[in-house]
Amino acid sequence: METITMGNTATKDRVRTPFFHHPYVVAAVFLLPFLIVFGVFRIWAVANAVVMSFQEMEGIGVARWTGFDNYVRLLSDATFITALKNTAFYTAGTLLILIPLPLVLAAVLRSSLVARASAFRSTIFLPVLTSLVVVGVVFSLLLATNGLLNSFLGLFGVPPLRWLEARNLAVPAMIIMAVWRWTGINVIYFTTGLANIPRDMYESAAVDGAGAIRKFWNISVPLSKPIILFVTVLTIFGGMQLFVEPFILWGTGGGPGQGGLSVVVYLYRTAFTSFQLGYASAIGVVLALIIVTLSLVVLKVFGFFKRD
Amino acid sequence: MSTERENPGHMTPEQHDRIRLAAPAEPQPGPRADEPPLRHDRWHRVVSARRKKILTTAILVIVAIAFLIPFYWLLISALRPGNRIFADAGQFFPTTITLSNFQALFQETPILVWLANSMILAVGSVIGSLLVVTMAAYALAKLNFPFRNAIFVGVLASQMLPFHLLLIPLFILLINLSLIDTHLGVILPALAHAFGLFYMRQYILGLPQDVFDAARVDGASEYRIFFQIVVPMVKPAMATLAIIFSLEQWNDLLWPLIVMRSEENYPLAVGITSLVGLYRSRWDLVMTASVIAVVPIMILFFLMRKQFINGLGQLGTGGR
Repeated sequence: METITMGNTATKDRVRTPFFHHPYVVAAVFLLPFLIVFGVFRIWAVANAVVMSFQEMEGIGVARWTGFDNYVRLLSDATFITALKNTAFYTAGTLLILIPLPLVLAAVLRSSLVARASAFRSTIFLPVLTSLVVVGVVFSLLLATNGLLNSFLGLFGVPPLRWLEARNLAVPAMIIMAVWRWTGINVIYFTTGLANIPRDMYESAAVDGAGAIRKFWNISVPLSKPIILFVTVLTIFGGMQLFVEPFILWGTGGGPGQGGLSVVVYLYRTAFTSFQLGYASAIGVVLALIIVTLSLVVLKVFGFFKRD
Repeated sequence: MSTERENPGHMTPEQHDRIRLAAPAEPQPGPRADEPPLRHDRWHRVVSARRKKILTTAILVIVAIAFLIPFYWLLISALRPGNRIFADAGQFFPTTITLSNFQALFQETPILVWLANSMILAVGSVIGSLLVVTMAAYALAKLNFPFRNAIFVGVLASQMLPFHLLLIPLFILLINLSLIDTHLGVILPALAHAFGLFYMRQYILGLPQDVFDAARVDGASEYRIFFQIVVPMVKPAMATLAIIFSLEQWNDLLWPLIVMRSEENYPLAVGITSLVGLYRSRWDLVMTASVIAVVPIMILFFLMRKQFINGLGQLGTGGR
């Protein structure tokens, strides 16, 4: 309907319409600022990243084509493989905790089982507002070998763990930080999702005698599928791009035995401390391919592409 | 479900209501088989519901305390004497409390400059993004032109590409544009915010169409419609996006870390990182600077709690 009126004005007033009021010109004026910034800083930049991954830079602006050399080198780069393993382990850990835990919390906080639910929601939400830099700083104290977590675990007879100094504890330490930092926002996502489920579904389930746990499993979980999907993809994105926490805790070094080295920290180190910009671009392209593939697989498994 | 149906001694509330409605005034003809257990059951249910509520609330209080401890730790560590911060990292209650770390912070670091830089970057990116995003969203929602949907889908699809891929090309681009070590260099690449565009377009699509039709009939130009009708009407959406944009900018590290080269241009996140890197032992400066980075956001949060939670929550449902 809108199209017809617009089209009419366009033809009728073509002669009289001043240039800046022509419908297409108007559209261009509104759109161009966004599209220019977007085109230059995204589209062009992505294309350039792909091009650079086939080059080796000898100083800024001087590039030499090397074909697939960077990619071949990447396959046998033990440090890259380590970084990828750490990052994948971290992402898997965050997925395993940061979806079930917030979903249960959101459901409990929506139920009549809790007094002052919104105060709890706000409290759990506070870490979301905290800069990841500060998260790294605080947890380097909390997770220190003589730190609070170990003092607490010591009450139960657990010997002090070297969270930030042992190769195999670096990723678990970062998962602990992630749980603190992200639970709140996922609770909010799931709460919004649960709020969209019609109340009468729960009521008729109650009539059929379903208890709280049955209602959670048979109504809340399946009907939260779109939000679970969204949070899963978001968690994969965030997890695979892990940077700030390991960077604050261990700098570009990657921590004990490279146990805390993430792919993006390795990319940063390759690009901005060893200045191998071409090789770093190849790392970026491979990581992007992994993230996009993982997300598409998740979407496919969840049946996102099936339109009915 | 089926077990309840097979149990004749237990009625569903619906059945129970029906019976009561059927015979309201009539006295019960003697104790029916299912009445006493039902009453007993309900009494039990009320008590156990209260007990359950106390139990879950208690568990959640413990969870909430666990979530608050890092904040307490941040504050208490900033108040411990510098040489005790790490030594006492396991002591829940501090033995001495001092403000001297803050004094050292103000004397030894340009913390106020960093704070100002963080604010400039946040305000700049909010104003810039809102302008660019709202204009484009209006065009995509209410104007007709070729490739309208293709442009929208293309922008959204490109969100699948992670930001780290752009770091190196953008770094070189900024060098060529002489924007390295400038505020504009930090802000510019993030201006075209795809989620912001999506959210704002949805919001404008939800505005009543007759307002636009009436304005067009009155001969208002699209520019007037935008500034006099759209902008005032989308203010709530702008507030939501302003929170999201400023939070993202305030807490970002990677991009400003690459762009900002000189100390007087650091935002707080980069400044704190430089303290961590420079003086491994100066935890007094690191902790106090961290407190200063967190406090403004917390104040803003307590002033606008609803907008924060609703705004960020809407990210999850794609703005609907």
